[in-house]
Amino acid sequence: MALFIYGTATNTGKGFFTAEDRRAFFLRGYPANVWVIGNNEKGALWLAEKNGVEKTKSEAQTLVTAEVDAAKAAWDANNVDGETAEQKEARLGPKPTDITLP
Amino acid sequence: MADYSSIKGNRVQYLSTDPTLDSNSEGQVWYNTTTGTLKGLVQIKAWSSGGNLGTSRYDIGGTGIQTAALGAGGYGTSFRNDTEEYNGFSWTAGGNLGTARYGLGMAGTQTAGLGFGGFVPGPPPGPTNSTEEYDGTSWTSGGNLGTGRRNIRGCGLQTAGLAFGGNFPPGGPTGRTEEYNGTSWAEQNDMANGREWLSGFGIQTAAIAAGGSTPALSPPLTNVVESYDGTNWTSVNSMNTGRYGLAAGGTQTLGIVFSGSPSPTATEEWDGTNWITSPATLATGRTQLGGAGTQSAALAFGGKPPPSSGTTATEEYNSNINAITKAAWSSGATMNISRRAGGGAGTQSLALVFAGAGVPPTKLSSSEELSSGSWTSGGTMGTARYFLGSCGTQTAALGFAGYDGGNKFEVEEYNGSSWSEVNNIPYSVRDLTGFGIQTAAVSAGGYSGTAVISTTANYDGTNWTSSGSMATARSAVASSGTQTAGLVAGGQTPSNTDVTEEYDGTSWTTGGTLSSVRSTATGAGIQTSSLIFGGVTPTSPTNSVLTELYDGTSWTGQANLATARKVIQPAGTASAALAAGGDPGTTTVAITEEFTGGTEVVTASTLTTS
Repeated sequence: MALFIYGTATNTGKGFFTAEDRRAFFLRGYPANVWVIGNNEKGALWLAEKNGVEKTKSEAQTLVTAEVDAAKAAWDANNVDGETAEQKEARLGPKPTDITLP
Repeated sequence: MADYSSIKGNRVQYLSTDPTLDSNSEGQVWYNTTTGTLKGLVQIKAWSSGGNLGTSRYDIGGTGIQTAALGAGGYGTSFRNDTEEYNGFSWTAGGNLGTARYGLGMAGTQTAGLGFGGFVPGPPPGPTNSTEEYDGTSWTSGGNLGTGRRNIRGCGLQTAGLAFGGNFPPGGPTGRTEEYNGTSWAEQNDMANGREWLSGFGIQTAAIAAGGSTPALSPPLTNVVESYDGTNWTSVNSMNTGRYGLAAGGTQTLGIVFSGSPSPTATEEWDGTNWITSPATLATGRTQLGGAGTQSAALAFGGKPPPSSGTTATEEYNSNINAITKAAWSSGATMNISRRAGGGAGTQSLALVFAGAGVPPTKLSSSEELSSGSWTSGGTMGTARYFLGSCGTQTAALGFAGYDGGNKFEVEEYNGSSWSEVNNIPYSVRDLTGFGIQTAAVSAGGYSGTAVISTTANYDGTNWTSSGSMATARSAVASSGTQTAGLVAGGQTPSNTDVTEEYDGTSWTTGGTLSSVRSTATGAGIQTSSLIFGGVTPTSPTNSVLTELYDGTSWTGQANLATARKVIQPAGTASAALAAGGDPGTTTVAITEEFTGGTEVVTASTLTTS
């Protein structure tokens, strides 16, 4: 049995996941609204209740990578004349790095 | 209907109120004359889910306690050499075994562990006598077992270990016993019943070996139990259910065994004389698992749930008069504006966030207030900035220094509706931290533009005065507490650090070390009950979900954030914290998470009287 379920769901704020949910199954959020969910009955039910869309791991990774790549490109393109690398990092935060789903 | 005294021979106490509910009341039955109910205080025995292992595997070695366990080796698609450490909530990677193996024995603790024997891939594949010692970080070679074997078990300490049973082909299941003194193994008297895939618990001079498998029996499993006194093994009462591939924890007089084949969910408690089947059963039945802990707080992890070839599932057993609810992060109300590296103040339900950087990356001067479960706009600061210091409450907050392309020294006070500029802090700085309240605040550390600094300044509501410097200069540090009892943890020196310092209003002293070095994390709470969450760690170079709790002495792991991020705006306390916004690596976010601390509540049960 696979360890995780992969899916997309929009975090709607309060109540999107509860403390009980967190105690019942593994849950980890990633860019592009990708969620990695513990593969048990409650985890699967949670994704369905949140109108989530189940993805394969490969599909989920593609979504995350696309979001990271877009963020990298945006970071590279966002420059201010005369700004040092240190100043750019202070202004934008560190350049996004690759994320590998578990 | 028979009354209680005719059944049990004792009269039930009549009380107008429940007695003090503590361990002294355990097992007592009383009649509450006010509510008209027969009540009792009983132990709650239950298995509950824990954090999953990082790697699915069976025949994994296990030792330690429920909140500080060690799992190493095992088999999962291949021979495993990886080690994982459990903190009561989640597993994190430890140092790898020098020799990959499965069916090994373990003893000791998470920071002073011992692994020995097992089956290695070779060439040629076979049982090993190799021993390794773990120091909480890495494994080093120890003295070899006299007899290499697989499916061996052990107990005791790294410097006083005990190994028994196992299988050494072609000899088969053995009762061979050896003692380790921290350097070498010495052979002792054998168990009467040779067996492998058994369980063991206790210490070197007072151990129990329970169950296991021996082909000489039919079926090839046993409920035999033997007790070791440091010299000899003697037979004691058998388990209720014979099984092999089981796990165990506890002492010679208070032990527990669980799982195994053919009863993969069953649990039995040992009181030094008899075995009592626990009403609690594991949710994931399994065999050849790892085990750790005590009779009242045990841990089951990994193993082979038939018919699968392995699991990461972890379960925690608790036998306690307290109903235990573990800490957890849950989703909170989403802010109207995405924000990172801003200021935070207030409580989990009455929070204030202000300034910071938004989307697209611009400095912010706005603020938002959380009330009645939703965020609404607050007053606008005079100086837009990020990487500032902050503290206070929703109606009396303080924001100071920071960065807007250059370091700032402006200070502003919030009164619940508007910001007003007050006396500047005496030095311009960014990436600093702040704690305390609006009329008694502290600024600590930061980046001057050329170097990280250790500078500390106290604010009295009007003026800033210099105070004692931190021992470790740093920026991007998490903090909590008050002006006379503050705390800073982690940060950049400029490399990431795990150092904690405590502040008494004038000077800093060293506190307990974080379990992971990190920077750009966030803190909440007071000096003796402080939470740190998120940030950047070496093992999670982008962002971290890790959460730790400080009790005034040491840090322990807690439930992790759902979404890893750094430069989160903080609010709240260590038992009710708020993580607002932050940077998950690709863009600044408006999501929030709420932390609810764990609780242990003792509750009297109402007994059925007919």
